[in-house]
Amino acid sequence: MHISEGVLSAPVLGVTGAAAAAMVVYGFRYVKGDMLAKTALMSSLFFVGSFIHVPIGPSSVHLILNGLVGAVLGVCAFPAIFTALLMQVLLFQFGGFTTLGANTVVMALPALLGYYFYRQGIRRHGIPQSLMFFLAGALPVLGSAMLLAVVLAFSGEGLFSAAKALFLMHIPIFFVEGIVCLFLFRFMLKVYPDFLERG
Amino acid sequence: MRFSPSVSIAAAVLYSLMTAFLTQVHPLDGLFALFVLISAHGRWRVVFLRMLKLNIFIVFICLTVLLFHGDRGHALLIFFRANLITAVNVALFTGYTADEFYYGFHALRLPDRFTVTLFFMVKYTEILGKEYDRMKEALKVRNFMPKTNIFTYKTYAYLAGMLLVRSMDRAVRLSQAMRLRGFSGRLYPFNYISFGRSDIAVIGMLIIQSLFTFGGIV
Repeated sequence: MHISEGVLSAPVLGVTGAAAAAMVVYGFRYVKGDMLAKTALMSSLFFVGSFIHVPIGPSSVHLILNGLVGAVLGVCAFPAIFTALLMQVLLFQFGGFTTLGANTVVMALPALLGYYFYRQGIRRHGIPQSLMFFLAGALPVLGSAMLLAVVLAFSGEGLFSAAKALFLMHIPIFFVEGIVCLFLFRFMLKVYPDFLERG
Repeated sequence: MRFSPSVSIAAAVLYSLMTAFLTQVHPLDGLFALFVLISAHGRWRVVFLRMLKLNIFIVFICLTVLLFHGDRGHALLIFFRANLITAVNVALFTGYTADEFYYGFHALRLPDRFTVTLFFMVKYTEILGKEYDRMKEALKVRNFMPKTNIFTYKTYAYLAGMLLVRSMDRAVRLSQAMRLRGFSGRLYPFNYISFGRSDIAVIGMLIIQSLFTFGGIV
């Protein structure tokens, strides 16, 4: 979910813009050598993920995959997600330049939860591992939904209802993303363990 | 009329910054938006359809402000600000390819680490996109019908996983091939998109717009 231009208030745009700039600059410090290819690849997967529609009842949602990006890249998830969001602004006009900071913070900051829970998962086996992998995919989505609601709520009392509605809309995505990431992490551990190990 | 990608990006960023912080929208604040919409002659249908799609979220936000809080002024402010900026972005950017945006950022002399990441991201998106289309076809051939069940979610998880596995091998080969040819974190593109008269017109319009918005002419 991208926040459109013109919706957020000036203080929120300023604070989120500064926070995103700091995060992205910090993340780019680690984008060198092998991490360059990996960051660019995960950035494009985050971009392509928005075309993968998964059914939920009569409707469908697209994958967000910020937990996966965070699990693989750690802090390099900040520049990866920023670059993907920037390309979405340019190619599809989703979001915008002034809200790019807010959208980056909303999507990229919770990605670190994916990194933490994935690391917890690989140290465990069986059901605890599956639970950690589920959380590595699901919690970043929940974190993003919460940040989205906070950013909107701070932009004016009038946006409080929109914030609540958007948060509730993300709850089914929380479960879908958790299940998809659980299977994805187990698949990657079997098929290409090195890919996630070097994160 | 087409503008060079670098000028389009810079103009869109500046107009967004000018408009997003407005607390009142005056009709003359839309002068630049009107200019780029007129210059998008020949692409009006695409621009109109995309604006309709993008307005779903904007109208949703405005309706919640209007219906649940009764704040008509705030709803209208959001609606006009959002539509002015979105119209400029759509009119300026439709028709460009991802590669052209990379050249645009390169011409704006942004840091190498950013432009190189963007370049690789654009190249990998092409690879991933083609792989994704092939896998989708393969699923269709096997009569896969997506439903709300664990089997469907597992299939999508494996699809994303296979996308990563196949693309990572290619990505590593591409970066190794570039390193072998002396790549040291900087790219030297040949395909510059030249700066033309239309770019001067768009810069001129942006200056006029800033005079209206900040210069007290409005």
